[in-house]
Amino acid sequence: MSVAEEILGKFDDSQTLPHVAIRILQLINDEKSTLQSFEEVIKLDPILVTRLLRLVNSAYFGLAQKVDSISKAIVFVGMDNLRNLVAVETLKGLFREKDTDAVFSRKKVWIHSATVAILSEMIARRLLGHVGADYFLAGIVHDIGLIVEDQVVGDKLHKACASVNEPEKSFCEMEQEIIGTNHCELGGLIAKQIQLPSDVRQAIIHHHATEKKQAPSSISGVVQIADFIANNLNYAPFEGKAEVAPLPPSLASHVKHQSRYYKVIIAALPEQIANAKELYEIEG
Amino acid sequence: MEIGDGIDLFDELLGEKKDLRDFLDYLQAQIPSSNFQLIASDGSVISTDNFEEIPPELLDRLVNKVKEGSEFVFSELCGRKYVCGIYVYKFRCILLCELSHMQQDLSKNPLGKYYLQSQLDLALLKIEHHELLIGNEQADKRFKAFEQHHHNLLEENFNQNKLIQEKDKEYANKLEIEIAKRTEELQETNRQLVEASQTKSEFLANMSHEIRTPMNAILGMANLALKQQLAPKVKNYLHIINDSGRSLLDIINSILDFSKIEAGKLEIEHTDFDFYKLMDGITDLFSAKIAEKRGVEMFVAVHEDVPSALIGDPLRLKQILVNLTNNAINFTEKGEIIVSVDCSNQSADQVTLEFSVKDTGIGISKDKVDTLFESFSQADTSTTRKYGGTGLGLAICQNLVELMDGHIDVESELDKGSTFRFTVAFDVQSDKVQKKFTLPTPLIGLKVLVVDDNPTVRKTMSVMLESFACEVETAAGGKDALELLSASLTGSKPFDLVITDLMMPEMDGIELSEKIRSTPSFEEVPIIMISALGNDEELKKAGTAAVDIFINKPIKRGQLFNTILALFLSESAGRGELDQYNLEKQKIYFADKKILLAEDNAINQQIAQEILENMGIELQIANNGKEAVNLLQNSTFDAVLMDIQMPEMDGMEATRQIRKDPVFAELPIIAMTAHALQGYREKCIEAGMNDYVTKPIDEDGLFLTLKKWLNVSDARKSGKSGQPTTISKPVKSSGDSSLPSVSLPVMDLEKALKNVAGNEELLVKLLKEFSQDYSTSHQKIRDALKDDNLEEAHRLAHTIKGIAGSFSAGRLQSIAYDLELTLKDNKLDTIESLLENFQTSLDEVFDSIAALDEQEKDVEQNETKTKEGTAGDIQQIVTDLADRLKENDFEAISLFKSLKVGLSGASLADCSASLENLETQIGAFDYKKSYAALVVLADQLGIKLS
Repeated sequence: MSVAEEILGKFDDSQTLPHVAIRILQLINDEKSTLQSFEEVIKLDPILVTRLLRLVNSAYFGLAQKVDSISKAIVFVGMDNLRNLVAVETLKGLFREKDTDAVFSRKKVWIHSATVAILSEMIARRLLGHVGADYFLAGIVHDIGLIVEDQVVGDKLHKACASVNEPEKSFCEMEQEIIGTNHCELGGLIAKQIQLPSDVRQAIIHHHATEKKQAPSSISGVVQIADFIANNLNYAPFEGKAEVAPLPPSLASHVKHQSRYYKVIIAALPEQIANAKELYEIEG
Repeated sequence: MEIGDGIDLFDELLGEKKDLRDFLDYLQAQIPSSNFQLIASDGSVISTDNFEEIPPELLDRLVNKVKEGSEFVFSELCGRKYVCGIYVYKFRCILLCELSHMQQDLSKNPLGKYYLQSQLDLALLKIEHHELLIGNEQADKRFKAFEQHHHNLLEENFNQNKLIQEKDKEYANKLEIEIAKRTEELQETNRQLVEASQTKSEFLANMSHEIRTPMNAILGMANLALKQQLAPKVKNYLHIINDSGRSLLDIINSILDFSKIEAGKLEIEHTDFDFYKLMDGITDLFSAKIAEKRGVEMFVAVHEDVPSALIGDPLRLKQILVNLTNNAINFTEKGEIIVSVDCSNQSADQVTLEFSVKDTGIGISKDKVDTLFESFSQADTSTTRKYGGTGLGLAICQNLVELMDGHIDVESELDKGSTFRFTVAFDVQSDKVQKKFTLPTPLIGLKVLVVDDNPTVRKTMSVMLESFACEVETAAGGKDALELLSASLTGSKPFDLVITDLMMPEMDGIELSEKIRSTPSFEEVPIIMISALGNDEELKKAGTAAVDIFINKPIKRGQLFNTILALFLSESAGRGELDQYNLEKQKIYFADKKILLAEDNAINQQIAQEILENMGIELQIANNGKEAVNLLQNSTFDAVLMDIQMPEMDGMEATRQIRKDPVFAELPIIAMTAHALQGYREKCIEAGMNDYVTKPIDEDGLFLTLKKWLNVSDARKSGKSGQPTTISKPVKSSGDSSLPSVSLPVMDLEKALKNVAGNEELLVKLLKEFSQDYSTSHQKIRDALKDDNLEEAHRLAHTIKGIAGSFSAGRLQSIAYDLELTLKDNKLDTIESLLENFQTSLDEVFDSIAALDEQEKDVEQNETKTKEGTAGDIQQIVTDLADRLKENDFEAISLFKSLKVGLSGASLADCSASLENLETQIGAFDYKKSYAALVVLADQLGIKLS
């Protein structure tokens, strides 16, 4: 058993993914699922229902019509978006602050994740003309590995965070050295566990890969670019430039080439973030 | 700058350097040979390639000036160049322009500023244009993305719709399968229930059989014991045993009926029956009960329009009526019970009868009425304690009425009484002429006085009598009656008939009758007395007095009608006669009948023996079917009473064996069984039996059944009416008065006929054979005596005695008996005179037989004659017949046959009843009544008799 698997095993023991979220994911992977089956599952968690409806009715979606039922929500935003919303709501719970620490803050990681998700979606839509639901999902879960590490090997993670400013080593290398694995690997395992689409899983695994040749339009590529932009915009998961690693050459050349386009996206980001207030907020 | 350097790359993304440079390039392109520099607020600077640095103090001055306004600020440079500056809001920079000499005058020309401003705006617009282009491009992409999203949503929703439809279909399929499964389960359950119900009904049938067998013994033995001389106390016990046993039997029957109804096994028959007879039968059933209830009158009023020959289920109708009437009697202590029948919706072949049973009993409170017809419910549980009953009776009634497509309801008031009404539709026997109780023409308008203290009885009796075409007046008591009688003498017409109740306050019927008899002009008026049955003492007392005829309560319409008819058509008939029923019950009724009883149970054997012997029947017992078959080979029987369940050979098989022999084709075989199951009767008939009696043996029921099969002529007669008949009417004797036993008839042909089951032809044949074989028997006896062969003489006398007995030749029988005794005792001294008498009697009989023989020939001649006969011939025959009847002549029989043949071609609708009546009377050798009947017939035929 690898270190990553070990950590994940411990994580599972201490923290379980909400049953509802797992069922939703299963339903999405099942072609025969109907609106009713979604509604039936989601209804089991009334708080979730309220939050979902609040999200659906938020400025982020900008729907003209008020949505007051889960099945209606699915009709208006689609199943993929619903899945994303469920993921958001579920993950939010995990990102709730365990203890305040100068070096590592779950809340910061959450805000980072949300920003990457929104940016990924914006890039997908604005540059690729793609709906971008999977991009969003990949963005919101790409750093899930950090939470697992914080939960299981918090001290080691904090140690890794604290020592990121050593110039020779990237954060992932530090993780590898101190913890024995990194949050990319861990995130990949979780994605497999909860049966996320394989390209979403790829994006999680490779979002720090500096050498790998990534297609700029792939989910991995988009998430990595969004991660890069978010880090540079002070939406980094933690203090310091720890996460700010250079883009692999293929992506860097793409960004440089399309810089005008990215500039427009960056310019539009604050408004999007404002719209997605509901998404960011973490109670407690 | 190196590609791949993340931070620089990002700076480039964030910074505006490229834009600024583009801006300067645009400006330079627009304004030739000029140079530009942008100074940002942080002091950083971007310049075009040939921009000459401005001296610092000049620059400061210029910058300060520029900061103050929004216009171009010009400043003359030393030498060759001219500099101006402006603040560019978009970039938050100060733009410095180096203009060439050629453009110097721009500063002086007011248009110069405008020119520069325009160029600046153009360059800015170019930048903006570029940005907008990108924005537009991204908007297009986003639009495409949203389109895709929309498309996805549509597809998703379409798929959802499809899925839902599929699910619905699946659900419907599942539902169908489920329903099919449930249906199957229900069918299975239903089948089990039917099976259970069948088992139940079979169980009940068996149980009822099992209970009936011991009940048979209990009731039978109690009945037998009651006939013994016993202490009153013991007799009382036996009565209780008997009554309780009957109640128990009723309850068992009720439960059995109810379970049959419940199981849907009760089938309603559709057979021809005589409704009047049925109603009379029901009336008879209650006469004893009514007699016990002194304060209660019962009246059965059948409306004259109600047809008699109906098709339906008489047994079930009877059950309903008996049940309701029984209830009425049970719950009524004082007042009256009126059973009435009216008809509604009468058509040629159908009639709906409305029955009502009204009492003045305890009644039922309104809140109890609704549950009255529910099974096991009675008006009040206290009712059960006080009056008993299973609570099944009314439920059975309701079910039966509904099975006959009728409706039953009740109207009741507490302490006032109840009226149960129900309707039943019957088919009418359209091929039969309906019985009508209308008096013959000479009697129409007969003036009748009805005396009864009960107003209801008076009223119903009036209605009944009026339906006979009588003129009726009523009186509430003796005093009124006498007054009315006297008054009628001075009125239009005196009373022809008085009908009075026996029991009346103040003056009872007997006193009234005696007073009437002592009233001038009414010494001879016929009086009919209505009395309760079993009032033997009073009956005897009254019988000697002034009353002509007694009729039992409740009054039967047919009986009343026939009584009146008999009174007036035969002046001597009827006086003091008892009811036919009582007469019939006398011991001698079945004298000389011999019956074979096949029954394995010793107790039943004993009971049957007692009952049958009481009826004067000679009995031989077979212990099983096989014995019965064997016994039949050796001796002659008039009928067989056949138990069904017997060891070795059961009743069914025995009957089949018997029927195999053509000799026994006509032998009446009557089944006797405790089996009450539906269809059993049919099984018996199928096996070849003629009729069916249920066990425990009911004396009256057995009597009636035997009467039906043992005495055809009598059965036919009583089928027509309940009219009293004189059973023993001697044929006018041609004998010598000096002969001994002169009071005995030569031959009672009526009796003789009965003995051969009414077969006239057989009788004639037997008589002829007798006259041929025994014409010299007296001589043979003398010869035997001469030869000292006493034994042979004795045997001959004995034989003739027996034969004479079977021909009802009383005188001959008596003398032959004397002769037999004398011969047996060897008292030969008186033998000669006896032999002479014997010879005379024998000759008398032979004469009568010869006369009969003549008649037979006449009949044949008459038959051929009348076949081509005319109305005149019929008139002749009627006249002749009248003459013969007056003379009590035997020839009347052959004449009647001729008449019947003569009339067979004519329309008999009007006179068939009277013709039948005549036939009955002639068949009974009652020539007086025959004459009366002939008068009626002649009247209908329009023939006047002198």
